[in-house]
Amino acid sequence: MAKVLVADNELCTGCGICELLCSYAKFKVFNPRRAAIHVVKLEPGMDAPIFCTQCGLCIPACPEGALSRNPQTQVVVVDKEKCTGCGVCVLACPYGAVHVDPVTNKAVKCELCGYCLKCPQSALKVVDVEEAVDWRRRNFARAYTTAPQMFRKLWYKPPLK
Amino acid sequence: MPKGYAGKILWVDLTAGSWREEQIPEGWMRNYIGGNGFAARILYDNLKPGVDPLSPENLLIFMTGPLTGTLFPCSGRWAAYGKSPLTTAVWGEAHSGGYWGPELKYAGFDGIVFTGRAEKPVYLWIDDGKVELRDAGHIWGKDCFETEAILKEEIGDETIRSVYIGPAGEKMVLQACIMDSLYRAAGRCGLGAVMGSKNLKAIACRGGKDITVENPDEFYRVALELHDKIKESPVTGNALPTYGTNVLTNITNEAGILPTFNFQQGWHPEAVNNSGETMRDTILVKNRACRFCAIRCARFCYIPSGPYAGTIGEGPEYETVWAFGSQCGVFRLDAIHAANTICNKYGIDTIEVGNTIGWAMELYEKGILTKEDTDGLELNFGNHEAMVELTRRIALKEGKLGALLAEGARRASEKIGKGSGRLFMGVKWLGLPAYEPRGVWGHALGYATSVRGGCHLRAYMIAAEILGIPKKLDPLSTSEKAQMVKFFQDYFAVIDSALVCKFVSFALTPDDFASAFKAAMGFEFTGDEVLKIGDRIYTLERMIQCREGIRRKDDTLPERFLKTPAPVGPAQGKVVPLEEMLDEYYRVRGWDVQSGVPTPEKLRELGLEKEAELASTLK
Repeated sequence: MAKVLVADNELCTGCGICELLCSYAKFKVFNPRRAAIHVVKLEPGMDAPIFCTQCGLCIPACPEGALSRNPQTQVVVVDKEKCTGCGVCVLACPYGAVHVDPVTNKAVKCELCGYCLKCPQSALKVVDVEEAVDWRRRNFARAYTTAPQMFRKLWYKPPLK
Repeated sequence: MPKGYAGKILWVDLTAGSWREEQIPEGWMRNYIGGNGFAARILYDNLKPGVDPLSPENLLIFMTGPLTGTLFPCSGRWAAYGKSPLTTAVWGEAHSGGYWGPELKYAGFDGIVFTGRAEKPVYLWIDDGKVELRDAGHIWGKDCFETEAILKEEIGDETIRSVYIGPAGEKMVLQACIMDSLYRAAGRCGLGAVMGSKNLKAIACRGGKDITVENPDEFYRVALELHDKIKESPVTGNALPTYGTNVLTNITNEAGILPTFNFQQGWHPEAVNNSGETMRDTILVKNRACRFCAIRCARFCYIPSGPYAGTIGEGPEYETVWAFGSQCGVFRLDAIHAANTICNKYGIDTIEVGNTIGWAMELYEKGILTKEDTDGLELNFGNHEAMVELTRRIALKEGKLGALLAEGARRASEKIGKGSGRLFMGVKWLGLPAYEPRGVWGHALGYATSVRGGCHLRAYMIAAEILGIPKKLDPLSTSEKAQMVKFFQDYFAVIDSALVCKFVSFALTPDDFASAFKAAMGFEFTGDEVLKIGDRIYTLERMIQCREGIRRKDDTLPERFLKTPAPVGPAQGKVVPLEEMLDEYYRVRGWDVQSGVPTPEKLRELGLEKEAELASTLK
């Protein structure tokens, strides 16, 4: 059965070690801006890792046919030979989970290598798709309930222009 | 060039409004590592002895280290340095976690040195190597929370990272700190006031440059091994993640070293109200972490009801809980979190302000300060409303007492007179933090000899004397204390130069740093050589003090700890036998026992030739 990366946003402390692990896995350097996973921090007090859900919306969008689903693992992978760095996949992705790497000029996305699972909080997991639905529902529920409640406690709102 | 570094230091002349980039000499990297080491080298070479810390002649240095921003555990740190306006220790240094340190390295610089003074308020904007000094007239006067939001909005990117001062720094309140990402502070030594004196409001950074290491696969392997060690240690793997730094309140109270009522005693029956356990059950919303932290000790807290309802933000940490807690006789977390949030908002050091308010409370109870002096505040121990209000007044220099205490305890005590200075619990006029020295003698020696004054972070002897790391020492004995203090001072000097979090020392040894240095920078050091680098850095910092007159006579403790026996707790009836430990300490360090100045022989052994020449002229 296909597997997918999921996160428990409540456990995430926002440290960003996953970003370092990812940039090491992809490029053998430490540079969070080149990673395929990003922790978004929203004040007050919200941290959420954002990464590819393997939904595949980018596959038909790519004009070069550089994106495809691996028939064994169902993971969406980038063919670096075909990718021209045009960025149409970035336009297609609703999650902000794909970007074009400024150094290699190729699309970068999560290909489920599993390096980020060394998260010290164990906030990231690779699970069967069957289980993934529960994780995703939970994160959506939080986004619609907890987050707006926290936002109301903002101490500073920029003046309206 | 060795890897791990960005390789450049940015020198900004604020008077001229110009800047230049300087390559870091490889010799510096091998001999001083980074952070504290580089800053000590720069201050020794560029700071003229005798300058006024708030004048344009003072330097303000920001540094990271070669391990900052890498996968080494807890690598999200930076530090600020300069001559301290608050203390008489000369060497001023303050470390912070948060998010800015790694971002500076990703933006292309290992550090920044500010000289001179800008004519008008400015902020520095570093965008991936491009440097710009921008007008800060519109953010001058804004508090830290507003500043963070305005900078993000103005630059138009939520992912920038900034450090800034609040109104306290602008007004040159001597307890002012430099804030990072809302809740993290480079607190001690009043460097926020130095930043204010330079008319520098903020430094904003954004960077996308790689940090590379010499041997990526080896470094990855070492880093993961060290992450495992952090996880396995009961302190960094269990206590700190579960309860935060405030796990210490119950521990120190039980050991009789939780300073209470301005250090008059070391134990209080109500301390449990302030403990990390209580915090977790009441005001904690969630655990948080600084950048790349494997320990995650930050606490995000919210006060839902009562007089401080609506208070929200990270903290308070153990030191803050003590400073606004038992130090002031306050045993309720909501008032402590409110005072903590005021400190974050206006940018002042919680330890220094809490300590100073506790001092003012003792003066008030002894009749040295009257209600007329306090603008009507009833400054009795336990009056949390007065404490929170006075915190705000100090931060904004409001009222007679607020303005007086904002000058720091040294100047305030000169104005108050009546022996008030003797009741201030500080070393070299830096307020002592949250450990009562009569119950932990090695820690007392650490206080007395700390290069930045009364501070627990040059030699955290609590680890040895209470927690048993790296080995258990009897807290009420003088045996082995000098050696252990030297070990910690040298080891911490290295950690502060590699610039990672000191908490890793609970789990990692100098050998671990040696293997990380080898994989990251390619330097072949043994654990002992790593400690020798620490010795070199610490001794150089000491020379910066000594050339401005600091001697053995200054390495002392408040009279209370030397003459008045502890009233309660395991240390009941004890005072600190400081002098015999000091003799031993200078001998172990290779410093002159009479004067406390490093000997020329010792300096030559460490490769500090020109410092040795100077030392031979100092008596």
